[in-house]
Amino acid sequence: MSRTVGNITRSAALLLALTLAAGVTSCGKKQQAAETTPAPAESTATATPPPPAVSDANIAAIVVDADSIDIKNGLVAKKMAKNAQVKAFAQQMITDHTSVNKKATDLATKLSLTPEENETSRQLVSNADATRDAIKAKTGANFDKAYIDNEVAYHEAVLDMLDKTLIPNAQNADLKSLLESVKPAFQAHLDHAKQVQATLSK
Amino acid sequence: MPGGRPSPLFARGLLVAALALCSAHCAGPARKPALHRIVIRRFSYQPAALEIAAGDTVEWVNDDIVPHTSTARSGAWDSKSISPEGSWRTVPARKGTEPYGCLFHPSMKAFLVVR
Repeated sequence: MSRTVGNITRSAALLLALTLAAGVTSCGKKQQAAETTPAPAESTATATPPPPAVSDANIAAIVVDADSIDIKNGLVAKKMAKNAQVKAFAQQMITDHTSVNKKATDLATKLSLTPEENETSRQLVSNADATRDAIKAKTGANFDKAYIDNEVAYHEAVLDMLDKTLIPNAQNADLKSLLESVKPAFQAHLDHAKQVQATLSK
Repeated sequence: MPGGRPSPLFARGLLVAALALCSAHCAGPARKPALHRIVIRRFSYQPAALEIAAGDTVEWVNDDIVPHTSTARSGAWDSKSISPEGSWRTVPARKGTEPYGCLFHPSMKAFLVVR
């Protein structure tokens, strides 16, 4: 059953990747079309670089949503988990992601950047909601395993998104720096989740 | 026995007296304990390995985005939660190598060597 949950998350990660790839591809196509259209003879201006696949406002929304998702997952696990290590991990996710979200919203306020929901953030939230509902239907050790399996897959997916989409597309230096600070948090959580996952499978 | 060699006992006594005098007067001024700062940034302790002298103070400064701890594996010290922008200090008492880490994040590891 936990495999189903893992698959749900992997599907979510795949959907995310496809959504982002579609954004990048359509952006690339627009650029290609612009390149094949003959430029006016009098134009001597250099080509304007294409806009990023996701804007800083989009990135801010994705970061806040990604954190909020894991806080919600943690709140469910804190209530439903039986295993002490799983409960402690859930509390850690609540503490850390609340802290990261505060940093992200503080920075957005400082930069007057209003997080703007977009296809990627909406997809992220709807997939996470569906996954959470599937996990909540489980009980006892099955719940513990499903929650931790999902935490491993979720942190892997977000790390992938940080590396391939969010960090490369961030335009503002402070936002890029925040994303680079967030990455070790997700990596440490992934390592921790794998450690708990290993003890559950013993 | 005037003019003869001093007895071994006398020679040993002289040596002990010389050493005692030297330890009282030849040693330099007492070393002032130092303050060492370890910065916690991006889920790591910087520096991750630090050698200090007994009596020195070590301060951990949390320059990260989440709370962390500095907790000795032996139980010699435990900072409890250090909030972002917060700090905590201690004077490690035990000589030797002391591994420590963050109670919240098991992947964070470092060590102190107290000489």
